[in-house]
Amino acid sequence: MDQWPGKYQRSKAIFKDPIVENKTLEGLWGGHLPIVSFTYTIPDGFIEWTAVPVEDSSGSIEQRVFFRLLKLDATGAPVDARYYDTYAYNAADTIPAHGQPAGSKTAAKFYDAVLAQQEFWSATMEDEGTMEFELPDHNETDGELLRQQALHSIVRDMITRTGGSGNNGTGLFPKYGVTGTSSAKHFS
Amino acid sequence: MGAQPEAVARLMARLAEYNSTAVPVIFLPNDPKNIPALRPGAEKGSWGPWCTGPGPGEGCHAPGQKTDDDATAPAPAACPAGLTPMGNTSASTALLVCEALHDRRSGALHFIDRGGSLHATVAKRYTSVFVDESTCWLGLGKSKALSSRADLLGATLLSNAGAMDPTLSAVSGLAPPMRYNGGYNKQDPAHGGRAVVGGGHTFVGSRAANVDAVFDYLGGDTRQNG
Repeated sequence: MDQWPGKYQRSKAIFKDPIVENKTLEGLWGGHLPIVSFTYTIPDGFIEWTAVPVEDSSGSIEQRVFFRLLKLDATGAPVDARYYDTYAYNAADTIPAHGQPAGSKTAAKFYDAVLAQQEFWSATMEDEGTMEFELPDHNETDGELLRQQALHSIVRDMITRTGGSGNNGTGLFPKYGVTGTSSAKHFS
Repeated sequence: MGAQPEAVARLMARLAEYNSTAVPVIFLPNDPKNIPALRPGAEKGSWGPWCTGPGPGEGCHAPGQKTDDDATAPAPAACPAGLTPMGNTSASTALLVCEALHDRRSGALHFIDRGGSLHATVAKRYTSVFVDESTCWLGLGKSKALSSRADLLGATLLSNAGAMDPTLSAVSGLAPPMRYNGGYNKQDPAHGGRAVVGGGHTFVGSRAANVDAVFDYLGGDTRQNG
């Protein structure tokens, strides 16, 4: 998706297809989970890019994130997939530093992380007594999108809340998100 | 003090002796059940044991027990018609992941257990990133809208809505989204000759990771991991 070969004459692309930039879509998996995803239109299909963080229970301020880059044809059939683990240095895993294919340990851990996000935030919302509500679609206003954005704002607040565990201002542990850490860029 | 190869050899031999009987380190996955806020009943808010033993369903991992690092999970049931099998979760849960992929704007991941029952669903939904800036600013033009000392955009928005509340599309269409992208290079034709912007869109990973993965929002691998 990025054809310029760069300083070292090596393309930065995972999949080397020109994208139609004005057809790019973005979303959060689960509607409100801190799992960011984009899709890009290419001439014969599309590419989906998704990032899912893992909890940081230890407060190490180092957030593990799994990435999936998925290439699909025009019918939605997978053509190729690459999975990345930002903790690939872990000696116990012996994961090489490039993207891993479908069926790999990294792929399994990507799906573990997605499921963990869903289960953690479902339990947390229930534990917090989060109000259930529905908003209607009215006059081009997407009620469901507004509902999801409201829930996601709660998630973001809990991740980034000042005065979280350790009083270090980096949010609620186990921090199923990354915003606010010293080594993080904005994530969602 | 000169070199002491004999002492080095003796120490290296001792290290080799230790390593020959060392038990491999097991990095167990984090367990949210130990979080005080998530503990049930009267134990809520307190620290304490959260498992009853090392057996299946008892919540503890015994030394040597397989963890989620072991991806050799037995294959559960097949995906329902219309869903694409994407793989499994790790062995500790061994769920089949089936995904609806035919629609770019929606879809879902379904986690299915070995008996074919649905364990969980994570819905996917997408909206357009691109905004044609010529349609923004309520027809006032960017320069006029942003240089106004009054809240010209807000006043115009409310005026246009009349007695009704402004719609989401009217509000979201006021201005194009602000985005922070990294890794562009003006020599890269895929990005239309825009200037280089430092940094990256996403989290950069562990300081010690050898996969320092950073992707911009157009999917560019800005650290060239390949």
